[in-house]
Amino acid sequence: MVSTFFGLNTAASALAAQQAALNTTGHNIANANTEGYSRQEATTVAAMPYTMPSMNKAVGPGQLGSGVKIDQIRQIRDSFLDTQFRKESTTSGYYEAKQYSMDKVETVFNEPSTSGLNTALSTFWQGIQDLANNPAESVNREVVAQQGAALAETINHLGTQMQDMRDEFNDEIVVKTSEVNDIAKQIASLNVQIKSVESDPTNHANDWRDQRNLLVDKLSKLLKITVQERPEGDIEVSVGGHTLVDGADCDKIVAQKRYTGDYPYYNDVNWEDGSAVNLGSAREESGYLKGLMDNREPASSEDFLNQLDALAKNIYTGMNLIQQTGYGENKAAKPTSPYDQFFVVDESKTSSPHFSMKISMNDNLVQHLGEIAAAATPDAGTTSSNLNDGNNALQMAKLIQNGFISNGDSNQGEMKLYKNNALVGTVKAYYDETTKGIKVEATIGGTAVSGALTDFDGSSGKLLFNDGGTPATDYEVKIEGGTSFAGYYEKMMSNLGVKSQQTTKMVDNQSLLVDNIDNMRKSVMGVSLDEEMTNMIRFQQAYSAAARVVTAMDEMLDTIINRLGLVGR
Amino acid sequence: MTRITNGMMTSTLMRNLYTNMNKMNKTDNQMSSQTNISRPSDDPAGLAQVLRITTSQAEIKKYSDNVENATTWLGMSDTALGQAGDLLHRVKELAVQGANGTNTSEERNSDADEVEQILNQMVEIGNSNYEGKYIFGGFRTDAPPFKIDAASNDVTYNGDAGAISAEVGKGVTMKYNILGTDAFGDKTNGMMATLKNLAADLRSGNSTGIEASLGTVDTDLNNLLTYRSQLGAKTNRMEFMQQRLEDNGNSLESLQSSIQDVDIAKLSVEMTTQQNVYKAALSVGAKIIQPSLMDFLR
Repeated sequence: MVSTFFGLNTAASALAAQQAALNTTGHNIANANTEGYSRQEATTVAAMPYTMPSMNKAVGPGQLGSGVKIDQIRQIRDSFLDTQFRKESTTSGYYEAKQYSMDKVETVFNEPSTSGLNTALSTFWQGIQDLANNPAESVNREVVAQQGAALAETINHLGTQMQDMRDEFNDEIVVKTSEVNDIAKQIASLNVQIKSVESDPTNHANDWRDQRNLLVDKLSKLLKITVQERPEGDIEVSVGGHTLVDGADCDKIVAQKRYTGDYPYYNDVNWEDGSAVNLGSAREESGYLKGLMDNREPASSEDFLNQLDALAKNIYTGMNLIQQTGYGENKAAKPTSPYDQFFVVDESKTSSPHFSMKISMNDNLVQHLGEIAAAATPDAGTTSSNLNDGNNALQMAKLIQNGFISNGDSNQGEMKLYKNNALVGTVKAYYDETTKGIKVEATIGGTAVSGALTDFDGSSGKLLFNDGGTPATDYEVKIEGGTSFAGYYEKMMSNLGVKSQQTTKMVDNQSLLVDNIDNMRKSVMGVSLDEEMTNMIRFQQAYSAAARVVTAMDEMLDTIINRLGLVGR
Repeated sequence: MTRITNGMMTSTLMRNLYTNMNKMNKTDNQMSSQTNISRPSDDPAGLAQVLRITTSQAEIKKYSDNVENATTWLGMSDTALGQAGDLLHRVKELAVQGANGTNTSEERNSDADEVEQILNQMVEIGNSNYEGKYIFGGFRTDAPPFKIDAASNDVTYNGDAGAISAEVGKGVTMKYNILGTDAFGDKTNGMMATLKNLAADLRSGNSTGIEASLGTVDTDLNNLLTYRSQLGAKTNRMEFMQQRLEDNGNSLESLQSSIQDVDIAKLSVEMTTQQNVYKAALSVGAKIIQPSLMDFLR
């Protein structure tokens, strides 16, 4: 036989259990909108029945149930979904960063419009045509000089804006680096909490874990991480094989200034010991931080600043070459320094290595318009004047329109050499960074030949290449087969459009994926108010019922205590 | 059966609303800017075409201007040569008259005077100018190409042999000037020489010379005709060129329009549809996310 108050104990345990369950439901409802909260559940288990077989067992049928107890208060969360979410979040972060860059680049170039580089090139060409038609008119020279300056300034402006944009990404890298460190520190301190709470095996550090999971989610968007949970409850987070957080310890990443190289003010992301953080290989889409670094120093097919540089170099090379083949107004000799360049490289404009920011209209030509080599014949003084000879300007116009940019190396211009209408060789012309000048390399019949571009007597309007040999031979130069300036720019813009479209699609796709997985997560760990309401009713009913049991027991005990053995009184 | 939470339903609703709003935003943008392509990512291939078309249109306009300029110059040259031809006919009459051995010296002198007058007129024609530029001087357009010495009737040519060309089409360059020496000659060749010699022969009564000049005047007339027909052919070519350029320009314009211009009717319909979809999403969403069990529990 069991003790008198056995039943009361059973009912009391019921009250306690239902109350705990109700409290948990209340906690769930309170946190229904908390970010990263996973719903909790008080699992109850039947208490140990009375009693185990032994020598002194009480007489009577055994295994009488003795009530209920709360087994554990656990959170319902699927860690596999968490891992998936973080993986997709990393990719999503990368493409978000790229999209910022693509949007900005599109805004910088601002095509199609009447204020972009396409229009500047076209206007420049028109000015040169007018000069070719009427070189004696000084207004035409003025216009060409001004439009040359406008073209150079447009290129400068585009280059500067692109570089500024990259500098901004660099600043953001520094900010995000310290954000990573903050998160790592917080994770480490949560590790300590969780470990100490869970040292008692009946405890689950539910809310701490939720906070830590939220931090890890945030971190996964920034970097590609691997997370390992230890049986003691703390986690190890590593980035690219190097540990970031290990239990209570966390390592730091540092945005280290370079101090050398082309961009000495850029910051590299390193560990404290100086080794570089392995953010992922070239094509890996691993996190927002990597995206920022790729924005700052893109792959060549996406490096529109470099492509702009190539275009600028070719405009510089081509125009200068043709300026040197012609004659100025009333000039008997070809232009010499400082008039032998149409465009110049102004190193004082910027410390950046990018050509786009340095190309300038030759101010000497602006001040001495007559030196613009529009004529293809020299001025022989009183017997002949080359005032109205615009045939070299026509060559300039042809240069702009025809395929000058080499299809092999877009940093070079390439022209074809013909003899008797047969193709015999090529002439490459490019800006050499080391000598800071134009290099001309001709190949005729497979052998390298040195020489110079000249111009014919103007009546045929042909550009010639003289090989300076003995005897010197003239080859006809045709600007063909490559890409024109406008054509190169069109390709650039088209590429930009395609890349931008792709990036937007990836962002949309990834955000769909992430949302999907997040929904699946929420399905498991989210709070459903309807469900909590139902549970609330359940626990409340059970509580009322248990209270009734107490009342019933009480009445029974009342009989025993107050009315047993009162016979005859 | 999937467990659905309130959080899931609100986030799904929001995402779909965002998608709808995105579409409406895009349509709105197109409507207000009246262009299909505002940035390269809208239509990369279309953008490349639009850029090319814009460049080509500027080129066509410039070529067209060049053609007009050349045509005017050609026209002026032709008019001048025409006038020269008329004068030469008169000279021929004078030569025929002078070849008649029965002329008195006064008659021959007055004929010589007239020939000299005509020579001076020829020099003036040779010095024709267009907008201040002398058209027969080659590159030397700033000074009159022909100068006549009053005493000797020697005509010197001070121009040069420059060929003035213009680009009248892509890769098409045309030379449109005529050199004074070619058409008019100078003191030793061509009609200037003929007239000088004829005047001298008339004064001196050199009948062989006068007879010979009949032949040279014919040669000079033929020379003029040759150049005039050249001018005519070039003018025809210019007209043809102009027509081609105009046609090109028109087709480019319609191509650009088809790529860039919005179809307002289509867009309006799209906009209305999108707005309706959005409203429907809003109203249904509102109805779904609001009720919960709490509304029904006492």
